[in-house]
Amino acid sequence: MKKTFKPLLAILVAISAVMGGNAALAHGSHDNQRIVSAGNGVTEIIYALGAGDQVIAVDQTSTWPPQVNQLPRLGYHKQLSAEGILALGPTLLIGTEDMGPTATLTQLKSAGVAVAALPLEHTADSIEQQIKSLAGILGKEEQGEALWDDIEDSLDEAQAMAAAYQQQHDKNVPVLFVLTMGGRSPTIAGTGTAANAIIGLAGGYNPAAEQFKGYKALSNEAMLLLAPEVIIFPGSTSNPDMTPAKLLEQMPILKQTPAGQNGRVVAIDGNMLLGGLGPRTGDVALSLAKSFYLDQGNPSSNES
Amino acid sequence: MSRNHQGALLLTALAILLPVVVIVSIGVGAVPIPAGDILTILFDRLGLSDSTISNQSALIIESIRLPRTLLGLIVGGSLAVAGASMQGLFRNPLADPSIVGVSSGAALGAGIAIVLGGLLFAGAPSLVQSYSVSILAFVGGVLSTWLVYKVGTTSNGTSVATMLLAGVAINALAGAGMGMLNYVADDTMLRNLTFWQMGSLGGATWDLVIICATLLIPVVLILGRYGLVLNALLLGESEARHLGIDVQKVKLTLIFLTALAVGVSVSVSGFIGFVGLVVPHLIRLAVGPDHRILLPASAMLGGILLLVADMLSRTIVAPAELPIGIVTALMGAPFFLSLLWQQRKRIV
Repeated sequence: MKKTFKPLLAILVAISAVMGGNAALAHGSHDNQRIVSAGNGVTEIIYALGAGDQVIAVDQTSTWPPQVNQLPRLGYHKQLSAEGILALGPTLLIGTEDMGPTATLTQLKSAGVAVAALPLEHTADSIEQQIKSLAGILGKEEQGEALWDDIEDSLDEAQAMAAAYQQQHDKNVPVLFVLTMGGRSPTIAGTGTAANAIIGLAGGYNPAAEQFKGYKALSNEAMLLLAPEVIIFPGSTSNPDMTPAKLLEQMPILKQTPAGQNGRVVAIDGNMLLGGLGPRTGDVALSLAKSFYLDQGNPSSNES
Repeated sequence: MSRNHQGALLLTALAILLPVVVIVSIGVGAVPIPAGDILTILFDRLGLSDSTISNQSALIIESIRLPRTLLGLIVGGSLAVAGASMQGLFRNPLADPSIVGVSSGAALGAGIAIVLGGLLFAGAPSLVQSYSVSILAFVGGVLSTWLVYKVGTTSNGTSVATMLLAGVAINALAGAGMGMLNYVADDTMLRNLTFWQMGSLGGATWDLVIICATLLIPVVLILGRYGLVLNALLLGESEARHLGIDVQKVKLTLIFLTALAVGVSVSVSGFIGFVGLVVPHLIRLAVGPDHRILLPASAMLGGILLLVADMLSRTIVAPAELPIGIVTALMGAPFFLSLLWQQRKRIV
């Protein structure tokens, strides 16, 4: 029985791929798409481009803007369920290259759902690429240009501040990103993380990036050696219970660093670091730059 | 009613229940498809009729539910029958396939592929890259089992007790290896590791079903024929020898087949716990320890249980999916606890 199934199935899949494959992308019926979005950065861009009303479901990492929290949840973007997604009747699945499993994506394509997997790197270029390709897919080229121009202006302003400081003091401000997870030893963001990228975009310098990749728990001595002048951590809207005072209480060693001694501990929205950097990157980078170089206390990552 | 009668009755009941569960599993899912359409689609594919059912329904049945159902059936049956064999070989009702190190070795293999795959398979063809986790899980499972077997084997034959201790040591070693991998992994890898350890039938494709069927159906059938031998082993090894059984050969065969069954299952669906432990117990509670009944009944009940667990896993939180290992553990762990509770006088 299985033997007769296989070739027939292959033919069926081939036919439906030709017929339905990327019809939605090709014909560009832009304003009545039913979009399933997997990845916080991607979701934020879709809303920022003004296509949020076409989104019908999001993955676990998508938490911004707040109205996405009323939508059905797809779960983890690497464990997507083909039938669960098909039941929502989407025309388009947008996510990052991280999406999976492959079998699910293949099945969705055969069912006529267009699948767009955007490259995911933690760089300004990658954000620009994502905005431009999404704007193309959604027919929002103008909005895409405007959105990127705004972000680019903010990023340029942040870099200009950093450059001015660099000229005056001959160094950039050393900044550490501290990730606390209820009761476990806090970890520090090294190279290859979204947190490291946001420090760089804000014109800061992450001394941990030279030492390791990803997130690592550091010994107290190593922490003192890194001597951060500013510490940022996920708080604000993503974790309202976490305040700078509480962080210092959980990690007394931070009080001994320049950042702790001068009270330069800053909360940012941790959700914007999950699932790719999104359109809020510009604002967040700029407000962080102000706190690094103008010492303007706590920036709020929710200005828009 | 005699035990034999009960056994025959149970086998018949399971044989009737199995196709029912298969049909329900094909019928249940996030997308509602009427039963009539499902039958039409199936007949259509078999070339018996010509229909005009929507392409999407046909696709959901053929490329999502059907392979997934068959995979669950094969994997569940293999895990359960391997568990029953190990419990018989070790003469210990608390044994499961992981006792010979196969599961922890497979987990370590999968972990190496997930965390270091980028380095190890950098130049490999894309086909190898996409199946690297499965391949390494299988290799890891078989290697660790072979090691446990080697440690337990001398010129006088294989000592089950030594194997048990070697299994504990290998599990600890693999656990340390996993700890190291967790330490060097980044967030994405960590999540992948976690999800792999919770198992899923979500990756089911026809290719996988065909590979599994080819490898596992013979294993289940061969293991199913060891009923009399395992019954003799229950008396003790020397008694089994007096009955003319080549005990050494039996041990080698059972361990090899278990490693194959669990290695393949784990490599296609990740780690699914408790099926191998709980299913043989349920059968024993119902009809006693006669392996002639226990082995085939375990194979059928294993398939049934995993299909039920999978139906729950893909419908409870739709459009998302719950990892199937969570469902089997939720069904199995309380049962295991009550078992320990009943047996605690004997264990101590």
